[in-house]
Amino acid sequence: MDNPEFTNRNKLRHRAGRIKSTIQEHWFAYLFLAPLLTYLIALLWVPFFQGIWMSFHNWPFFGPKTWVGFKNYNYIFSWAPFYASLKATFAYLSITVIQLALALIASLSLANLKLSSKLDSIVNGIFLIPYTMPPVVTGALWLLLLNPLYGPIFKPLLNLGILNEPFFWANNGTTAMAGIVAVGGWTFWPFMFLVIHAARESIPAEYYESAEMYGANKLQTFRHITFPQIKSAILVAVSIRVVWNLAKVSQPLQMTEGGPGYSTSMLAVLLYRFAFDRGQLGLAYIVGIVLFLISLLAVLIFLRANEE
Amino acid sequence: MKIHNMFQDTKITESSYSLLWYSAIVMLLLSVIVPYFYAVTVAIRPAEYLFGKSYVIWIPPEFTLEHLKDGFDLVKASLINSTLIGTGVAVLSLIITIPASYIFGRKEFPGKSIAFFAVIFALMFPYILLIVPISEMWIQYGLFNTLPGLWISYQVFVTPFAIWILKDFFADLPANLEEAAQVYGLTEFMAFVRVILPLSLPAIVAVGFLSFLTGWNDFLFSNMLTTGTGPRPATVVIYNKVVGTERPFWNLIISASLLVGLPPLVLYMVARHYLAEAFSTA
Amino acid sequence: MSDQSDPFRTSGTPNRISRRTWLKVAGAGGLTALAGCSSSDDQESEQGGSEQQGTAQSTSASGDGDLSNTTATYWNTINVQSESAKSASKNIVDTVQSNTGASIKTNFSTVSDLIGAKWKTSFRSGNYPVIFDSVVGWAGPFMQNGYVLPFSEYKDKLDQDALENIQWLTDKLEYTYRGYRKDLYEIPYGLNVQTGMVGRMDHFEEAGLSPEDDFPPDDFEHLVEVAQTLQKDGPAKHGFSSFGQSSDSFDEHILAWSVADGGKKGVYLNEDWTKGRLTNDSWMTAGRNYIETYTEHDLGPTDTPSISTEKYLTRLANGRASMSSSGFLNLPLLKKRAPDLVKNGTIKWAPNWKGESGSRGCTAPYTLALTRKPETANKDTWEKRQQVGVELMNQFLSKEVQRKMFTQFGLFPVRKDVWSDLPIGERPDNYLSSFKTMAEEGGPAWSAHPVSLELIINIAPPHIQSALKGQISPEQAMRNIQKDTNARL
Repeated sequence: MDNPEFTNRNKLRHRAGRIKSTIQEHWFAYLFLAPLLTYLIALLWVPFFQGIWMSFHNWPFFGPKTWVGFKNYNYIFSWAPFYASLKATFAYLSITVIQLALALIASLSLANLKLSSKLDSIVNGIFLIPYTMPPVVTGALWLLLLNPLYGPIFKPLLNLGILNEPFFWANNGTTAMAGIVAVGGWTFWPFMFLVIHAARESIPAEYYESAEMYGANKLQTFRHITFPQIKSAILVAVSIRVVWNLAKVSQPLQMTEGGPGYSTSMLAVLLYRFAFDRGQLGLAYIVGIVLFLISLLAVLIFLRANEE
Repeated sequence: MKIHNMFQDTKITESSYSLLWYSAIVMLLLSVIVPYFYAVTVAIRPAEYLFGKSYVIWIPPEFTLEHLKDGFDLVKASLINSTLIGTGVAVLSLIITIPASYIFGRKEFPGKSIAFFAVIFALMFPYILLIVPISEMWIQYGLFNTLPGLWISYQVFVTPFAIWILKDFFADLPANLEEAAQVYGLTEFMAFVRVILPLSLPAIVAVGFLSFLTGWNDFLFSNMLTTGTGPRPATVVIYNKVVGTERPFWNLIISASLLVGLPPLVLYMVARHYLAEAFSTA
Repeated sequence: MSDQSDPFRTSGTPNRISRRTWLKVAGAGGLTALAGCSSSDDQESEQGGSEQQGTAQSTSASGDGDLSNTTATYWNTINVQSESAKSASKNIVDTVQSNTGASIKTNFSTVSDLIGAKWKTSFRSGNYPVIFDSVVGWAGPFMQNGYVLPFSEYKDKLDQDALENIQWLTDKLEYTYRGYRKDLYEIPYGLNVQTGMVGRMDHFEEAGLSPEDDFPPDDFEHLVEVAQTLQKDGPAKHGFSSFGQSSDSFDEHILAWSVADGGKKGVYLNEDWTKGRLTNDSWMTAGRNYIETYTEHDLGPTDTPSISTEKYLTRLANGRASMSSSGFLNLPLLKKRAPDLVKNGTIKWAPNWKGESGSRGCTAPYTLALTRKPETANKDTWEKRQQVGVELMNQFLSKEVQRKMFTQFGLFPVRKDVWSDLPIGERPDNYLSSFKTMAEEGGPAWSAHPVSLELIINIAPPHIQSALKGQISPEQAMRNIQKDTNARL
């Protein structure tokens, strides 16, 4: 009875028994959880680690894969365009600001105007349009609108003499970034609008009525009633959008192909270019790992902010 | 006197505020409508009214359907692929997420918080990272360039969001539904199928639509995992026409783009009230 | 899309399989020459007769049943050139389908798919077509890994008449594949050349230069002289320019000038592909000249380190630049921007100067290639598919298609016997005559080693850009490029 080995074995058996009975007790839940867990493991964790494995190899398309240790990592971190890519990534995140601003303006406008529900529904619907279409469609649309030679924005500028010669905005790193930021903001702000507006709409009308009774002006109303209620929605929307904005590839790629050079190759785009154009999968995954860490950071910040 | 003034002041501020809000809305509406309006006119105008003149034409003097027809020819095969991809993604996502969100929302069990944390982690995960290992794996398993391969790979970024929405919805349903059902002799499983599911139809439809739209709108995975001889969706065709050609022919591209963008737009509008219901409980 | 007056009257050549080819195809194993059984005369062309549309009637009824159950796949990239190239491709496929009875599945792919991951991933999983088109040497990775069928293995099945008339080019082209084995791996069907010269004769005259003597310049020194005079005395701001944009910076002039100077010695890689040649005299001179155009001779706009040929040509069309190097495929751009100047010959084309080696720049053919049977495919089925592929090649090389190669694809025809049908010399802008001169006198440029593409896309541009920005010397840039290239060999 006091033999430690005997006790340990008993403990194990006991624990195994406990696990077994737990599973039996909650078999239903675990059954229902199974598809999800299978997918999570097979499609997220396994590829995630497979990718890390690949990052230590030279992984060409044809031919043998060779182990190269940290050589790929050295290459990336001493490669100048990588830092241009980092810069571009943070620059591109500014679309979050645009998205938030537009979403807030839209939500507050609608809430304050109290339109008839039909009109409200129509306006809501129209706001949603850019978000519903594939990003490559809206990207194509804006490529035409922003066409330096015959697009409806630049051509009048040329004709009026405001511009002396066609302004090839895609040729300059800064303006190319400005271009994709503007279009990215235009395309994806409705998502934030949906989240924020839903939160805004769920604030009971009584709060506002009592605020009015107490003589609060618009700014005070916003600060003390509206904002606290939608704060968590804003946080949620912003953090999700940051993570998703970090991963945007198709639209910026279509508009500038990551150029000129690498000025508009955000990390996600850089990953794509490595994997797709150069076929260097090991290097691509390393870029992905950096991207993952940045996303993780954003999520942690969000979690901290949410707790306050 | 003071009250009267305050009242008057409020009126003036009221209307200038209203003006502010109205103009904000109008500006936002214009920012959406004007580009699309121009796009539609480009799609239905002869090419010379886009390139040929030295000034910008907003309403062309002539209309033509040839670009729409050509655009349709360009994408018609791929539209079918897009539909198949979207449908499969939606169905598969519902199969995976409905059970899981149900138990997250309504059941307690050991390990629940860990499992849920894993889901949130997946929501925040930059899935683009995974195209590299997944394309490798798909080649090995023969899933490369196939529909099932696409359906499975899209679950990566469809399911976490779906679970997030559905879980809250399930949680908000009245607490005693299962018990009441079991009183009537239904098993736990049947309670789920016969009672809970029908009640959750709006949210399920919403999630189904969202998943479908993700499948339809995505370019990244479908470009990486298909070639032109497989189920190439419409978004890849558009991308190729814009980026891959030497001299993009904009009338054609815009027509094709609008055709590709129209179904998701319509679907979103139809699914909107389902969506609103689902989001308001989030 | 081109509105060239079409002088290419089809002379009523019926497009059927030449009897001799068909009989070989019908014979078991395909390579057996049924010499005794065939009426050996080639009955391919019947001159005169009525005009025919692109899709010709299938004439020889007897043998077509052999291929009628075959489905061949063809991956096409030339479609990205223009809408007319795409529909011309479709016509060619239709013709072959109706001639052979086989069915051809065309995958309209893109060039980036070819050089990027898509095709490679597909090939690797055994998923590939029997025939594809590409640009010379760009299918290097596929050749290197044994996917491409060498020419000698299907040479006899091709139309011999066509082969004779493209021999002037295929002889030159063989040099491209020297690292694999002495053979061709691709058949050229249309030609581009790198690079010609474009100039505005009105600016030349205004600057006091002579369009006859000073355009094109005789060599680089003359070029600098002319360009600087144009800048000083002419109405435009720029007399000439280099291009720093990634895809243009290396492949356009530097290669052309290097090959003009050194001929075979001016190409990227050495004889057996063990080392690059980028630090030899031809390359050093060409690189130095290219970069010093901007850094020393003050030619070119301030955005030279990032400008592309197209953007610069737009300025030329608008009158802000006077002269440029340009690929011949940029004609549509000039026609769009300055149609009248092109029409009346104010904008003129000229071949690059003849260099020390006797070459003027280099040829850049667009090619077709056949693939080897994948392991999992049935031998007989694949052979039949290859026969369909051969017929597709023959159709591309047919006189009818070759005559329209320029109007439909924008490429110069590879068949010499068709050149007399082109309105060469009739255009005031000298486009076709310049094209022809460079085609004839262009050297071989490519090495079908995978590193060639990497060189022009990834390796060279950053160094060239640094040099253009003045951060490193041209010599250093070339040395860096050489080092990076050698590291990959």
